[in-house]
Amino acid sequence: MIANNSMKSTSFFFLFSLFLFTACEKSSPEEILWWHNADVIELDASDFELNIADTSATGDFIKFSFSEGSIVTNEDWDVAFRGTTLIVNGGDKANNDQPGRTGDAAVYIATGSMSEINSVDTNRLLQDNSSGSAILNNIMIDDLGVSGQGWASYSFSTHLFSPRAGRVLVFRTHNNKYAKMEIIYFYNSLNPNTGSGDIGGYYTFNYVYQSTGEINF
Amino acid sequence: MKNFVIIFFMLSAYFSFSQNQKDTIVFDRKLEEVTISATKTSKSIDELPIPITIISEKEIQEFSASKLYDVITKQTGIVSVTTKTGTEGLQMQGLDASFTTILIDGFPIIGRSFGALDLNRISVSDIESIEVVKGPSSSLYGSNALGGVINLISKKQIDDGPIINTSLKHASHNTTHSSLIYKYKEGTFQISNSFDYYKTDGYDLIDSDVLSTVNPYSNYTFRSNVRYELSDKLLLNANGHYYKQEQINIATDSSSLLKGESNIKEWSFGTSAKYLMNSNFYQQLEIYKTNYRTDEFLNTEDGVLYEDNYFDHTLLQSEMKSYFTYKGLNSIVGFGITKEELSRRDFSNNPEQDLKFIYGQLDATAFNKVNIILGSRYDNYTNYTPVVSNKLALGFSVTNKIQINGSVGTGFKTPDFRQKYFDFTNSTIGYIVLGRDVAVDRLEAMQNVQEVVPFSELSSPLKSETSLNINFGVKYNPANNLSFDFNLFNNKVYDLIEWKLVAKYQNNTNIYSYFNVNQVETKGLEFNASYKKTDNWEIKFGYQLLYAYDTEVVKDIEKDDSDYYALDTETLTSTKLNKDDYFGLFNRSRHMGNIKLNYHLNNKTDLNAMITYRSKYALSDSNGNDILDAYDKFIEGYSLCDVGITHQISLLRSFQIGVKNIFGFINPEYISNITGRLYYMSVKINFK
Repeated sequence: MIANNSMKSTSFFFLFSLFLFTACEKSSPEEILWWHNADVIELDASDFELNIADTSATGDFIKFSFSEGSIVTNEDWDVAFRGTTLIVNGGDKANNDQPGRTGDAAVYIATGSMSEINSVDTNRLLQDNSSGSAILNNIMIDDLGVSGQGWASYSFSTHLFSPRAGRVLVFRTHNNKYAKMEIIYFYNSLNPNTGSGDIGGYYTFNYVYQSTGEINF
Repeated sequence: MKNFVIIFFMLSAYFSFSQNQKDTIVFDRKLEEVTISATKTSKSIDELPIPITIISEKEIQEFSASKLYDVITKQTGIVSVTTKTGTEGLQMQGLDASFTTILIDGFPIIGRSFGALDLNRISVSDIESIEVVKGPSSSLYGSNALGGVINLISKKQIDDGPIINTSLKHASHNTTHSSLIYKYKEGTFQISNSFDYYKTDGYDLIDSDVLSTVNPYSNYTFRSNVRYELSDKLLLNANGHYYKQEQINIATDSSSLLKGESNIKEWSFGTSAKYLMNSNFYQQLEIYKTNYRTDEFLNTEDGVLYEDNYFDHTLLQSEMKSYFTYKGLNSIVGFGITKEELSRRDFSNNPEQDLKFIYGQLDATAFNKVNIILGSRYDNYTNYTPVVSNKLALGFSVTNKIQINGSVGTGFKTPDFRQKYFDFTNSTIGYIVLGRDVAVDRLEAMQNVQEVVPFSELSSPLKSETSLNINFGVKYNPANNLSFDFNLFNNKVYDLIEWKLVAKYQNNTNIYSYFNVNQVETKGLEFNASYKKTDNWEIKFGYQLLYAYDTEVVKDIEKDDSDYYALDTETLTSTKLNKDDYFGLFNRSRHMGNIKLNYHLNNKTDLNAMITYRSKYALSDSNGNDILDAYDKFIEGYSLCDVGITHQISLLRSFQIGVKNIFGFINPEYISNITGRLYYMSVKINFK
């Protein structure tokens, strides 16, 4: 067949075109909390835009607090999301369109399932710095997911960005507590197809928050 | 009504000339089974201890095929698949398209896109038979024949005088295919000219976008062949072809529509001289040159050039072969040179590649029971370590009904020009791909490059992809009208070339280059059976079981600290994968099969029905672990059913009518080459 495949790759940018966010609802009374299958919260982030020339993004980061279990707009956030980028509330900001860092948060990526990752290796924690995200700069979380070392991977054939199973983000929160998070979905559809208008930036994740400050989950 | 079925192969002109008298148009299977591709000499298929299929002219014409695609995709274990780069090519024994060589009358077709040859480029209107050799054939054909060879044999003429064959076909999607063949023979001189024209409106499987799945295109093929026996001892042959395709090219750029054209031009010229010293010794000299060129462009709506692209590949090949026969022992020694040149956009230079090769083969039949083939070939490319390919095949007739065949061989494929010299920048997504031979210089010239892989790893040249292939088969013919054919195969391919991340450039642009990374294994069973109930009924059955793995993944996944996980979509938690969860390579179906029914109503009318089946597969990973596992989304298995009628109005006139994909299966999202129900009608008129 002489199918026309040229320049379809531009569809990749649809995934950046809107940034939305899904958090999880509390469902357990215990100190250590598990959240699953949460209600989907959709946020309008239409001011998010991507500069095609250098793939830099502008728009608001959506801030999340583990202790609140929800999106926050104050300074007590732990992790914030925009498009495929994750930043933590610790260290320095890389550029002026990012929120200022006010806390002590840090992060690393552990390999394993949520139940296998049951303690924090504090030596591996990294903070953001002026040259980039903690995660990005050390190629631990890689924005385009192509290095195969981040929390997600990008497919050149489907142009989809998929969270990698068995990659757990281990956090120190802004106020020195710990949490672990596994990102499950990145699109507004469980069977995303950017060609039919599905868009990325919708995060669905599991997390466990250790409110006592102990490093064991 | 005599001399209907006559088999005539170019190389066998002096030795095996068989005629048979039949008073129907039905082919006798046994008669056709002479092949040249497997050994480069004319050889009965029963004597060959390697897996080989011959597709007869009748089978080619059964469903009114226009292009090689229509015929070859009906064969057991052969499927046309879309590669991850978007090009389409054939997969045989689970091996990629780049591992199969396609020849016309022994001369190779070039013009591969990411390793794959477009099967819709190759017309079959003047083709008498197609020989499919499965298993390693590098010991005769060199690079690209690692997985097998497909040789199209053009029709030769027997009787003196002129013959004109015409055909006209109309099919769905406003598709027209017509051919005109003129042949003339007088004594030892014969000439054949064929012209083939194909035009289609294309089709669109997804209405919601502005693009068509396949844009309208048209192409024509002109082939010419002249043969002249100068004396009893000297045979001269010249052939050439010209092909041109024009296609509308439409694309979108975020908001606007881009329009242009995509054109292909291809030509070849080959000449050979065969000198027969005596009945035991002859020699043949061949010279062949071919060129393949594509030109593409896209304009914006204002008519301003948006993008253009070209690709221009030339191959020159010269080969000298000597054949020697002594008391049942046949030997062939050949040597030659090839010279390849490529010029295309996104290349830092216009690369050339020279090859010198020599090969030898012995085949013998011992005690009327044992067939042996032993072959070896030495390929010496400039700037590369020479490659030696070997093959040993043994066949043994247990009884006159059972034959056991085994063969083992090695094969190779050299890195292609793209893997060596590509210099491509995708400015929209932001990545750069560099061929291995140009990568270090380019990287060192860049500022702000962050190493991911040490650049020293790029300084050595890529190695050829190599293989070890084993086939073991049993042929069982309990009766004249019943046959079974089993073949177990195992192909290991080493040092497969893939691109991987080598560095990051400013603004997080990823830079890729090519590496010999993984090792794959394809293994399975092919089974074919045919049964002729009466003179009227014939049924054929084919099945292939296939396991195809990346052997590194298999090793890694068995380790305790394996980092292969998948999301269980029911529990929404990650689970560690075990070996059984690994499905294998992309685009491979575990099961493929076909059933073909032929009902010979009377001397004039034949009814054909065929079902082909392909079990589930996946084109790419859907859950972010880069491998295909039980938790991935698969493309569901499917069946296609074709029915057709061939009616012989008179000796020289026939018509065909039929429906392809009668149940109208489509999968617009994932399968772009299946178009739904297709009707066709064709008429053939011959003049003598």
